[in-house]
Amino acid sequence: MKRAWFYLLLGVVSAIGLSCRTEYEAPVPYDFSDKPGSGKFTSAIRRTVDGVYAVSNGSTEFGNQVALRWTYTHDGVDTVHSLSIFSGVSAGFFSLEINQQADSLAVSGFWRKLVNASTGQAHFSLKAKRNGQLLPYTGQSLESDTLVMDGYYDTGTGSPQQKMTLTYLRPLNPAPFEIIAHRGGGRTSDLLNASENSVRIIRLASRLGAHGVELDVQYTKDSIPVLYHDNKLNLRLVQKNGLSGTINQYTYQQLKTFVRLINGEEIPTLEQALQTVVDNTELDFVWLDSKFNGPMARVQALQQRYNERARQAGRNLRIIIGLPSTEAIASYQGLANKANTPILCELDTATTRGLSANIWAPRWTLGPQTDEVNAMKAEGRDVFVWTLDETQFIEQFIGEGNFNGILSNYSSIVAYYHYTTQ
Amino acid sequence: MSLGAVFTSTPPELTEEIRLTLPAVDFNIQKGVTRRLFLTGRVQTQFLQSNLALGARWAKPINNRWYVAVGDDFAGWFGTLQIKNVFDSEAYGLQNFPHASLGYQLTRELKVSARAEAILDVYYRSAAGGLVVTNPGWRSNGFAFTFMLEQPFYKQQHVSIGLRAAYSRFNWQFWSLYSTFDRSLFYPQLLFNFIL
Repeated sequence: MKRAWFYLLLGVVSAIGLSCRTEYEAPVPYDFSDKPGSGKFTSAIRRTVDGVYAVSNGSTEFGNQVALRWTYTHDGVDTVHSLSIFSGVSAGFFSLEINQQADSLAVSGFWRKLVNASTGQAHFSLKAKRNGQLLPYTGQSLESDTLVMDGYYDTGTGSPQQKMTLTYLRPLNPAPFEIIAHRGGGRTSDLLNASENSVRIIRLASRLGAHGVELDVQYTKDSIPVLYHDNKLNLRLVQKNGLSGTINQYTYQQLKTFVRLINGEEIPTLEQALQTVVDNTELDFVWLDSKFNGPMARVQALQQRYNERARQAGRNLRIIIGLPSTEAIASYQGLANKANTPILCELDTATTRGLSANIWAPRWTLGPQTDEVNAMKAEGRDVFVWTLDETQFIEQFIGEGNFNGILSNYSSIVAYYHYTTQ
Repeated sequence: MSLGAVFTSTPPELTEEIRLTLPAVDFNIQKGVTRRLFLTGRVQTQFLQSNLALGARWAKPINNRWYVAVGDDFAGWFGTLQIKNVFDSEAYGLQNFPHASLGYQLTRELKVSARAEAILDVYYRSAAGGLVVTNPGWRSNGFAFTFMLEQPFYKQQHVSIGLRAAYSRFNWQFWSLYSTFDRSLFYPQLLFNFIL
């Protein structure tokens, strides 16, 4: 009897404990048509919409002000325009597409808060406020008119009924600043609908607020550079497949045949990733994080090929090789020719100077390091910090105004604080 | 008084493919103020980060086998990391743990108890170099359940062995990982103490 009590208690506590292992999900509650074209949103109207807006309905959920910015992806001559809204609350953002069926200037899509799993649908119409009245905006406006995004969002009900009103305040902060999305756009653990280090997330990166992406590069057994973060194949990143071990134990063909990332994508080659950046996005910066041991020549060749291809396409794109360790530096120093090979050094200032690196990237946990940052900038280098996700620290780093960019899992927060800075 | 160790496993959301079980020294002290009221103290330390809790507990026997107890602990934690080119960071905070326990004397020598507690954040301060952020104000952080077994070990020596399942947004032992998740993560803990 006593033994039974003991096992009963143990069972109850174990059940309570194990039931705490919640599996979080945040499926996107909206089907994007990804239809090319801009409908009634001419380029002039799109430029007018970019800006900082006051939030008069919905501020409890999304804060008192937000930043609106158009982004695009393109396939050949087809361009898909998206409107993003960046909120300073809980890494919140809206991703909206043009509603080409509507008679008015309308967008619809979804919102998400990256720090938790909250999400919902949203739609807005563009209006002009004239003498206190809201009128449909047509692109023709008086100087005294104020632009208003008038719409609704939902909090998981599936039917947007919460009113949200955004009133134009001022243009976005135009100061140059590199917003770099970690792992191609964001971590798998942040429940995005695309896996980290996938082609799909690279295409989403701009919508999430990024100007650039950081990609983790490793070699397969047959020396193909591919994107993958962890040391081993594991269920955090890939679907169950029976394979284990490191990426370099498998040929690219084996990975392509048997391995799918957690959201179903193939592990991309570095070449596929760079091709996507150049051909399909407006991204202007790629940070190749060297997670491999051994020769760097193949990565260098791809860096040079796609930097050149971007230049020929008139793109202002910088692809740089990141050196996070002494092993990566040794690989870089082993290159036969280092010309046209821009690099970023994550180690100390002396090592960065010794390598003549173009960019110095210290950890944010070292703080602002004002003297060192100013010295490196005076020598013509850019200085980025990584990987900074804490909202209040992002606000302070941007407020300090010393750095040229921030690498973050939450590019939407960085975008919010950068664009709203006056 | 008891002295032992607590082993905490890292949630995969924070350490990704790396799974760690971090040990901490665990020292507990309890002093009776009246027959049913006790003052309690607890120190957990990993040297670079430590936690000191002080509290009170009121316990009442239901019969000669069962007892119930309620109490509240107030804890302060502090951590610092100074590693060249990696960390120039420190953090500290205050937390509160109201709790209730149910105990059962299984045999003359063997006791079992189950405890439920709420985890409340009271204050948080974090610094990186010269930058400082603070989060003052009480807010819910999570909850925890503990199952403890107390039995003889050797001669007059007794030991307590337990499992604690904490489900919280923030765990002081992992302050330097700077979790940004606004969702509760699971922190299983194994507790082992010699009762002195």
